[in-house]
Amino acid sequence: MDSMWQQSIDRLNSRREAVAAAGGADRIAKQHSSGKLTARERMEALFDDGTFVELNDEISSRCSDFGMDKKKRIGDGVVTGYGYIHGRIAFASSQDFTVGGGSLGEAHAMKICRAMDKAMEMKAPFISINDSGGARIEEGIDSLSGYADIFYRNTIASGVIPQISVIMGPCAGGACYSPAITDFIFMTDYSQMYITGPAVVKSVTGEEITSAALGGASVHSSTSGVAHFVYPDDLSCLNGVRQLLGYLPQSNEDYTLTVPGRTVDNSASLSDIVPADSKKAYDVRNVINSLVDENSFFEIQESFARNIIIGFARIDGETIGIIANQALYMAGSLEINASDKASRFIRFCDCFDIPLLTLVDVPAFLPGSQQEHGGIIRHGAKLLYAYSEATVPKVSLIMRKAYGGAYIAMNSKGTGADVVYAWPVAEIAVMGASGAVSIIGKKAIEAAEDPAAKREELLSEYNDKFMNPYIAAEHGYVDEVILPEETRTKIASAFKMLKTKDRTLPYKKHGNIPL
Amino acid sequence: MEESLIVAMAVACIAEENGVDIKNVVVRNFREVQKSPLAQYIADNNISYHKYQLGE
Repeated sequence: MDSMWQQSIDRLNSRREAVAAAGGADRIAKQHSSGKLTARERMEALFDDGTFVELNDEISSRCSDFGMDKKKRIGDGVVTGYGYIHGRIAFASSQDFTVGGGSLGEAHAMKICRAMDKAMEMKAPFISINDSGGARIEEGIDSLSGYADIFYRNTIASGVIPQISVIMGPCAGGACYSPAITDFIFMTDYSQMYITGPAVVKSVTGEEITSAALGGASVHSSTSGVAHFVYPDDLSCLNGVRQLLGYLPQSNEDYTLTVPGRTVDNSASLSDIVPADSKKAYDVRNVINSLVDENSFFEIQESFARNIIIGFARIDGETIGIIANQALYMAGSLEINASDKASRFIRFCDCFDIPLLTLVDVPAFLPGSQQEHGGIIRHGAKLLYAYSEATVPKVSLIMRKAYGGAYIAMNSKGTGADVVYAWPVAEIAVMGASGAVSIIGKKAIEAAEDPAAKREELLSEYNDKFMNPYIAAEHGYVDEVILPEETRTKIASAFKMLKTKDRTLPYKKHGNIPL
Repeated sequence: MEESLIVAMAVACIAEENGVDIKNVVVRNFREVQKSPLAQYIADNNISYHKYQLGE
């Protein structure tokens, strides 16, 4: 090797060292001391061992305003590339807080966009790890344009490839809207998301609030519903991303992986888990875990709108999406947040051809001025729209109550359910017996010599006639009334039968879901 | 343990895994594989960590 070769190699090695050094030992130590990994360590934790390949590692900002040319940042504060997760390719970006606070400028955004474009071309998931102070002010409008380029790509990629955002530090201002457009948001306990931070809030409204109380993981997972998953630290969070991807296809043209697991039919215990008395509560998660492959249920948004449960699971190794009324909270009634939560999940599953299992035990849409004024009509309509629009296999099990509009909204036959099962204790009616008798028996009760006895007589008649699944079965709204111990076998068989389902919607540019 | 012994054991393992007669293996050079930054961080901080694998 001659000296020219050696000089060139030395120069390359020197640049590689500069890239690897990121923001320097002090800033890396500071990142570690706050419990956070560096951008490249996160990539290593995200991908299968030794598979991460970095792209465009030398891209740097061309900005020279405000002395930017004197503080050249090789890599421009973001690491991008590809690797393999469970042996399947995925692309990712990881903002590097040790380099310029991970601020986003023109080149930084270009790196992310290039990785997103590659993900689209390869039809592979894209994971965006966020840890950034926000727009790079020195680059002015080019920073804002960079965000716009990312939002645009997020939107175009929606429904084509799974997009996952991981918030592992600050994510403020316009930066929040990329995660918001993506399919799932993971947060760590020490991360924050807000459009305007505490200082601006104070100056504009006078309200004093901490970062955590304004936009911490707890707030977004339980109150706003922005975050789908929360983990205590980076490593567990990235393991969560790996776990989620195990349920998903690579794109809307791909299939989910079949994961053989322990199949234990616990259906026999279902009649012990679910009380026949429809007024008694129980945890529907126990029903889910009895029906699906062992340890396969992966719950989403578990702290938000707890009156409805959503998540992925497997039956006979195949991924399904589950929507279930949770009798433990608000008796499982539907309200604004539950409608939003379930609708978005149904639409995700439909985008990526994941079959849906709906477990129904719903008394009503929650009544009250708070719900009406909050737009329950508009939000509840999303649920009807999402189920009706979904062309994936759709199986329902009516466990107990299925009343009124809420019955229709929970994947009823009329909104396109392929197979509807009901247990013998199911009550499928316009409303519960007490309310119904008060309306339809009002005059008869008032005219009776013994109103209380008349009411009891009418209640008995109503219960006998409507509070069972047989009228619905006779009229074809229920395909079969089944025993609890038959449930898993029946559901598995239905999904197997529906595997080749081919239903298409009429051509349209897109529908107009009531947002 | 002697460095030469470690190398000999590693070569024997690789040869066995690949079904190659060890007598036919010649080590031309080797370099020590350093821990990755993440592995180093985990070791330095005594963190209990297992990367999630599909089906767990």
